[in-house]
Amino acid sequence: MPKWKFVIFIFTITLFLSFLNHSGQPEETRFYHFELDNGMKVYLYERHSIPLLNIVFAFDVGTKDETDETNGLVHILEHYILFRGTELRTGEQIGKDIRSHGAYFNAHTGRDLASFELSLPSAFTDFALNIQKEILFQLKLTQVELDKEKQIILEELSQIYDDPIKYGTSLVYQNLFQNHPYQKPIYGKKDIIENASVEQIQRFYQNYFVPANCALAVVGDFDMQEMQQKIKTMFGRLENRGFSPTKFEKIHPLNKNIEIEEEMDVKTGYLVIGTVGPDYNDEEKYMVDVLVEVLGRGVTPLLNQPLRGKRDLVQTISMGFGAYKYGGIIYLCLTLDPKKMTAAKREVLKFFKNTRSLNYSKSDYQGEAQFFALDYLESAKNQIKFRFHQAQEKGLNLALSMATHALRSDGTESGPFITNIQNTTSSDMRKAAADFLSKKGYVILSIVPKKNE
Amino acid sequence: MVAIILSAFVSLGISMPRENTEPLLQNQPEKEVLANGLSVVYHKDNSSSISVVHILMQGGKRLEPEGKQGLAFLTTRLLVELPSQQVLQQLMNQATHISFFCRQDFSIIRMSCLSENLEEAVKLSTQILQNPLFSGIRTGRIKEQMNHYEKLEEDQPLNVAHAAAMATFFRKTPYAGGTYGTTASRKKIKKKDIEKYYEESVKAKNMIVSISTDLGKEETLEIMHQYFGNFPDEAPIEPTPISFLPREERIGDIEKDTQQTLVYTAYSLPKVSEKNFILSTMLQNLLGKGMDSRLWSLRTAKRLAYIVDARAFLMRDGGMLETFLETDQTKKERAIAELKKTIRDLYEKGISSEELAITKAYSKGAAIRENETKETKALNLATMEALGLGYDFLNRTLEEIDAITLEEFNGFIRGVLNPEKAVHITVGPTQ
Repeated sequence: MPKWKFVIFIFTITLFLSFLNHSGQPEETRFYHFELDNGMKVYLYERHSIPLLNIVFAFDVGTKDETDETNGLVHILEHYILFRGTELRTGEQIGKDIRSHGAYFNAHTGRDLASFELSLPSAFTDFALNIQKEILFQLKLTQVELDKEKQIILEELSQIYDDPIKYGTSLVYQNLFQNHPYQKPIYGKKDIIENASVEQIQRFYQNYFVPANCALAVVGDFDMQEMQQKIKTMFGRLENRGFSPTKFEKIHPLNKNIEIEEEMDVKTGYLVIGTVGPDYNDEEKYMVDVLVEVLGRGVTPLLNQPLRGKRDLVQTISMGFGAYKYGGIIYLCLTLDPKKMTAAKREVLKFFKNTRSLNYSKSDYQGEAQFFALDYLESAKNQIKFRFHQAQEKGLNLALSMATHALRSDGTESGPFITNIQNTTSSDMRKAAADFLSKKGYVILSIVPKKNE
Repeated sequence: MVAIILSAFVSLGISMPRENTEPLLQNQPEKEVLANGLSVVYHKDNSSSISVVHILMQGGKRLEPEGKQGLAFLTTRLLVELPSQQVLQQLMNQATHISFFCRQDFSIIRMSCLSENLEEAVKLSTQILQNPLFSGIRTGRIKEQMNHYEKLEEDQPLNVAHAAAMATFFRKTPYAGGTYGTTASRKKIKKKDIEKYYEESVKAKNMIVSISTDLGKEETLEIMHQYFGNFPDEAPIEPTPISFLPREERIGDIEKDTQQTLVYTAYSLPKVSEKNFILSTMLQNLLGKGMDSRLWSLRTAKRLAYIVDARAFLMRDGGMLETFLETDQTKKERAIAELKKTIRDLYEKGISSEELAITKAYSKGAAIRENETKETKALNLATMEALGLGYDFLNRTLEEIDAITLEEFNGFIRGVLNPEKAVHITVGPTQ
């Protein structure tokens, strides 16, 4: 089950806020959020377009909460919770129960958060809430089961090394977030995983898997009043054990570029470039969203100009932006003929440097030039608007967005997501480019075929 | 992927175990045949303010002449090439997304847009589709891209094994061979091949257009009539039946310098029919989808892999079921033995009525999830119609899946999972 996603769209993460203010919603929906006495945050979004229920629990624990000596323990815990049993049922029994209810069950470990998601036919609402409660809050840890799961995690680690994009991006993260708790690999270190004890895992579980450190989001085909009542009855009785989250420093950008070259058994070249972006609560994240859309996404990204066209340096372009609680990343992933690697690197860096002075909108041009200019800004806003609507269709993604937002947000948003996107100007783009793209501080990772290939 | 991934492409329209079976889709899809013979399948979906249109052209890879693999992809790619800066600006401003893909039996152009821009988007895309430019410069550039895509595919062990298995099962038929062809096959493709392919496939009776939208039926169909009504009214392609060479157990090791080894086994599936469609999906789910599938024990109990999976690919004249896991090199031999044993056990003993009930429940849940978005709904409506199952199969499959008996399913398992006809492949270090 994949727990790693290469593409992270910040607009998806903050999506649900906009629902509250979005009047053009064609389907009849209802939204409600509240907090239980034990501190658990609850977000409910009722809709009936398909008989499906999507439930996500997120906990404010990730690699940021690990040390060099415990790197990988959150990932182990996430695996264990998913597959290894509770006080009431073995892992096998849980698997069978999940399957017989037609459910999809998965989990993700991240830098900030760990999340657990369940999607199943809405006829099984009671089962869904009960099984999630049992799995998350009645875990039974044993060394025997832990040792079994470790071997599977080690297989997962090897799998990452064989995938050029996953491996490349992982290296970019580790080098970009130097001296910050985000630097540690999400999957953990091999020796720590091999030697992890049940006592270590238990400590993480007891400290972090408490209602006050948790957000629950439910999206789908249910009755709002009934669902509120069920959640209050079922989860309101969990003991309030309190929780004081650790605060971390914001990420500092690198002051010089770092270049890394790797060889793999591949037929083509891969170039991943990353730089520090705004954090989740930074107002500039909206500008960076639009900037990334203009530069590296959409019908014709601006990066086509230096990299494709006559020079034809690269074949595929993919750009993204991920915002975490204490910092963000802007990344670019290119695939290309390995012989063109040096030229592509040079062109990208030159182009990024110039992004602070580019024209993004028709209004940046004067006279006749305005007529012929492509309006990249307007196009990007529309692209984001399109994806905003498209994202409403996928219930599990919405639930994940709500739960993670509940734990990442400091409550300082200036308004709905779409409004912030629409208000972005060409000057904002240049400012965001000057702040995040035009300075040194890139990690540049290239993967080329092995010399003997 | 080269062929149809069943889980994504043919998500079944199956509702869940309520007292009375309900159809999966809130609104019943409807079909209208335009005066020129073009089929339009309309589905109203209020879940978002976007519209998704699939323009399906029968033919796909099976229209490719021998030795000219890649022609379907190349031609379809040229059909979405924007003719001018002005059109580019229009599409950008509307946030209209145009993409495409080619499969063994058909090619599809997908267009997604904000519903408020549907008419403009359809107008633009049909203009491009009816007036394509097959210039040498464009063709050459796309051939270069295809060369790159071919290499990208080869960087993934699963793609390598899949291509090898397809080549074994469907050798000397148009179903074999990659979507992008090879350097040699691309070189053989000339402008006249592209023009011939275009003329054969882009005509009204050969096309199915499906749309999932929040716009009303009348408004939508008016747009469809206006912009698809003038496609040439000519006879559709009559696909030549594909005949297959006899199969036998085959084993192959493909060297790749990776940490893990892909252990892969594939079986052929019968040609598509309503029954086979359901049975293939259920077998795929039983074997490799989700927790507690048959292969799941290779992960949790045997600790051989992080990923275990099964995928079914269905084409008009035959399909393929693949099962695989990725394991550490030191566990390779044990993984091969355990994968074979697990499947042989299923082949010899079949399943119980309890496991059948669980498989049905899982398949229904998966179907609902897979049909959550307009994109998958519109895709499934078009492809089901194209494969002869009928667009309304999406809602009817619920009854079909509930009607599967233990005897039928076990019979299907025995027909498909014959160990003597399997193809075994590993991709990884050979030493």
